[in-house]
Amino acid sequence: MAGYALKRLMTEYKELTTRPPEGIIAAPIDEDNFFEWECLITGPEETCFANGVFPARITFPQDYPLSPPKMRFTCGIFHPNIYADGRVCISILHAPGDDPTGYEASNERWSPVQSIEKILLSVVSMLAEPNDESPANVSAAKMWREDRAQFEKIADQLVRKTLCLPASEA
Amino acid sequence: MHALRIMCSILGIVVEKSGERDESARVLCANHVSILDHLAIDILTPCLLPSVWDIPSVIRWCFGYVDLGAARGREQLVNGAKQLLAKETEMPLLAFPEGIITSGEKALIKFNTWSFEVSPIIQPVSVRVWRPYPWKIAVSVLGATWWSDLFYFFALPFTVISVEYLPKMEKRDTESLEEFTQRVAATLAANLKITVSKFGISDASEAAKRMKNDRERVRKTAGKEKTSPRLVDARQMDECAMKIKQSYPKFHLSAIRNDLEKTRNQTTTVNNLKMGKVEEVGDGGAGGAYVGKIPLDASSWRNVFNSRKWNMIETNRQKYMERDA
Repeated sequence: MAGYALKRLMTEYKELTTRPPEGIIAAPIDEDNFFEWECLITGPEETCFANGVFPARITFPQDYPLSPPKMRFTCGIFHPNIYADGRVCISILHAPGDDPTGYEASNERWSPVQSIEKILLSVVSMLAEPNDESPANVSAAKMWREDRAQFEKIADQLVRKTLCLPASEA
Repeated sequence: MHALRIMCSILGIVVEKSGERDESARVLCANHVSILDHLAIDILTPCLLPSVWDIPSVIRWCFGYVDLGAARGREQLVNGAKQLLAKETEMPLLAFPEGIITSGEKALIKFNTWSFEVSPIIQPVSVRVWRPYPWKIAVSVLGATWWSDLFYFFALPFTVISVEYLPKMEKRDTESLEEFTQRVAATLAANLKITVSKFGISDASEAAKRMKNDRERVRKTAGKEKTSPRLVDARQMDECAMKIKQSYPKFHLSAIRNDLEKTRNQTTTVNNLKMGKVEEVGDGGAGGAYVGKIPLDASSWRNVFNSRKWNMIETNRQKYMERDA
């Protein structure tokens, strides 16, 4: 089982290295453990996350790709669909039948034909368009709805942090 | 009380008295400059002191404090004090309405009104403490523990506590409790030639806490600076490189990270940057974008990732700053 997972991960690693999608990179943290990856996602243009480079970790199960991996941001991102501890909550990371929020259509769910690249692209569009109907972070969803300016300010501070820029005064 | 006097002279505590104690005032109210104020006044006039401190009960007993239940709230304290005064017809009640020890050199802390509620007639008492020249050690410093203050009392050859009784003061009918409290505080402050602070005990303890925290933080960071721990894994070095980049933006992240790989130490790398041992951005070389063909060998892909990672941050950083400009 793990052998197949390893082979599949290797193929995806090669694909991501030779043909990296725009603004996304990913690789195993340690050459000895292919089940633990780190990735960087560039915030989508024209959004409050633009130009931010957000680090995250992806953990694969031994039966990958039958079961979906788990993804967790390590930069303290404040977003309606990301839990306070960084775990990402989007439908592509949930297997059919396992629906924590009850809002997801099963065609958006995880299946073995999905891939790391598709997950990361979904995360990019999630950054651009938060789904505040099934929030993982309720206060972020509330702020996104009611106080967009403040939400954008928090996002901008994080963007600066990920770019090694000092926090802005304003 | 003679026993106390002898004990104090052996320990080097000299008590000076001036002014006259007025028997009609049942409450004495003094400024608080040391933990032995109470003892000094007690030698001159035996008195009661409600314990408002959180000290072990054995020590409270030694000092002759009475527990009026200050811990159970103000109501309890005022009622307890009134009852005690009704019972004890001789001894007055001694209160330190500042509620905390101060240097007595700058200002009085805003008085707590509880002791003024106990009795409408109050005799203010001013307390000054001084030590002869070579032992000019502060009697009490902010945030010090009561036992360290006590130690200096015993360790130094002598300490002079001068106690001055001021004329008694009576609450006027038209005055509110606060006004009366303020008037007494002003009289006492004038006698000590200092002012009354607008800060109360809670502000003072807040300041003490803040000072303690600051001191601890300074000590911690100082320790870190000196040792600057050896960076063991890639993740620590990545974090460190990003931290350095914040202060030295002229250097490319991958150049910083490469140097860290060699030095494994934040301070050493920072010194290398300062001394120009690392190339700055624009010189190309060290951290140019990953160009050319991706090697087929999977073991080198990790380097491709790292190089892309630092470039990704650098280019987005550039874009962000141009965007803002």
